[in-house]
Amino acid sequence: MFKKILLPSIFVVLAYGFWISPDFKQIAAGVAIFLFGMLSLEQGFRAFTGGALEKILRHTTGSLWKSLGFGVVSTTVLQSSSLVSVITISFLSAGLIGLAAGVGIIFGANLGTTTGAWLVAGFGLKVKISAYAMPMLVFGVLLIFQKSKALNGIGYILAGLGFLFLGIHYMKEGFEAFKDTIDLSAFAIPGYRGLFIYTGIGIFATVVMQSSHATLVLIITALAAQQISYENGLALAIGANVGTTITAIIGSLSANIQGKRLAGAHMIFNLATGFIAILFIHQFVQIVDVVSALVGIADDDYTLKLAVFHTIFNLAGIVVMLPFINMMVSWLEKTFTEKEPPVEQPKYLTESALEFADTAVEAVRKETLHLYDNAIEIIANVIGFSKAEINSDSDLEQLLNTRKKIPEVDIDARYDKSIKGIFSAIIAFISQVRFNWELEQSGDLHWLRRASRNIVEAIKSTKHLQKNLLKFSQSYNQHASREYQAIRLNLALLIRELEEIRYESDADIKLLSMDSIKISIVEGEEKLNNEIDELIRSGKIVPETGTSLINDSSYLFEIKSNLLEFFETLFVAQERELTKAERKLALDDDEITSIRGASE
Amino acid sequence: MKQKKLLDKLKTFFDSDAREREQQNSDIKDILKKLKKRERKLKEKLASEKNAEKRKHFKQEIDVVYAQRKKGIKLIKEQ
Repeated sequence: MFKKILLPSIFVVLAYGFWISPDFKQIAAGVAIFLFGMLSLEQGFRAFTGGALEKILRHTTGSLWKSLGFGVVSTTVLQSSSLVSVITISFLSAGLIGLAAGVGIIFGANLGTTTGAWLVAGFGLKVKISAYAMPMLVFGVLLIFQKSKALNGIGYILAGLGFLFLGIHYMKEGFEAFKDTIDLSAFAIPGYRGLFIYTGIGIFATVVMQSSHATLVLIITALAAQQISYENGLALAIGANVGTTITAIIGSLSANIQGKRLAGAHMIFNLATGFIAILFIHQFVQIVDVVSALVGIADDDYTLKLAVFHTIFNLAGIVVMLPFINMMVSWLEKTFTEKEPPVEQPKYLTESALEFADTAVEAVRKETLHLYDNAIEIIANVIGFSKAEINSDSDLEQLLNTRKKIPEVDIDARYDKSIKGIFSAIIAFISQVRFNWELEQSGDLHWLRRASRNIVEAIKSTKHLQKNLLKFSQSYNQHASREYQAIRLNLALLIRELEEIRYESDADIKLLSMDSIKISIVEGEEKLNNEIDELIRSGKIVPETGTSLINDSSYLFEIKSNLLEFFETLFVAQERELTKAERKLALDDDEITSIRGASE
Repeated sequence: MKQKKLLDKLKTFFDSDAREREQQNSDIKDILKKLKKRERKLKEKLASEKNAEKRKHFKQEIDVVYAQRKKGIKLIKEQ
């Protein structure tokens, strides 16, 4: 219930916000574009998994020192730690690097970003990579249209970067209104309280302006105008360093759990470094003075001294945090856990069942039936029924007519939840069994494994069938929709018939009951194909719909054959002695053909 | 002595074969009875069914059961 109203509520709140505040609209649009950029970037990097990029990354981030160096160099070149961190998040989300390597890069990026202050302070130079955003977008989209996988991937990466910058641009524009509210001189409080307040302002200013560089420029201006004290300026720089993590946090919203862990690492590192810097601010001031004197920076050259401070406290952060990197990684892995949907576990495959040949076979047989029950539930839902309805006495044709529209079933998710786990457990259990047993039990297990495969095959064919079933069940072309309704009914009736045989009191003639089903499956397919031919010939359906129907009739045939084969196998393994005699009476292909011939 | 042992072995071999055959015959007879019962039930269902499609289905099932029974009887006669 809560989930159902959550999304509409968010929409209403956002729409109201957009209506009353154009700035809010711009910020929200910025975040949306930024996230879209992240998705695009991730898709782009995914094209290179297993390829050259992965090799390069593995080579360059193979050890902690290498990943640290990679972070420093890439941030120096790109002049944006936020960009490096979001790219690292997408590397991680695409599975190109591991979490430890990602954390190393983030640590390095924090040091690399301090070169920005040096460039600004020392040479008045500002590398503005955002100027490339628009061309990136254009070239990126052009490349996305290319067929080559590599070009396509590069296209997504370029477009992703373009969107990232565009998103940041919109966020900045939206926050522009709040920029004037930042009055740096208003909080000139001495002592640690003042430091914490200025750190808070630094965080706020960086979040608002979406750039720690911009905050640094602001600090330098304020320092030059003597609006704030030198120590307060340092606190602002610490705040800017913490505030810059917001970009990574926004970036991780669209990332998978690994990306979120990395954003967490980024946050922890910057917060811890910030705390250390505030606590030991006086010591840092002394070190900065000593270093400045050594390299010949004037005492009142606050701009360069700020750059020195920025570098030193990030370096200190790395030195302090580096020994704890593995601890941090394992903590993050424990804290951010993936909420995996509950996977159904096997019911009968126990350790004790492995003790004896007969108990092992019986356990696998029961588990295979468990698998079948789960599969039938999925198949029944795909054709618009519940399992209980199919197994009841209700008139399926009548039910079908009241339910022309069928709900879409997420077969992949259902497969993962109720089939895959059990199927894998069956395979694992059989492989554990010692095959020096008597031949009979080994043979039974072999056949039971095959029966499990039959079920999986039936589910696969159902997945193929679902596509057109959803498309044509409500088609404006009544002939096509009628054929698909017939497919649904046909399958439901077969499932009902098989269930009836399964619970039949005459256990020893179950196998013989399959003969008439075999005939009806073959006849059903022939009938359906004849009808399709006739519909195409008379122009009642277009040939394209006809081919869809032909394909789907073969999927239907595969589902039915697999279910039938499953049952045959299961009953043979169940009553070995009786089925020997039964098998002698079961009809062969020639006999089945002659019965069909006689009835026509 | 050796020949006698060999003959004994041969005798048991033939005996077990015959035993197995006998067991199988009795299994088949058992199944035939059940098939006969099923055929009768199907015929009853056919008599009361009016839907043409379902009638066809029942008829075919009767044909199948009949063919299976015929096959079983033939097997017993052959042995």
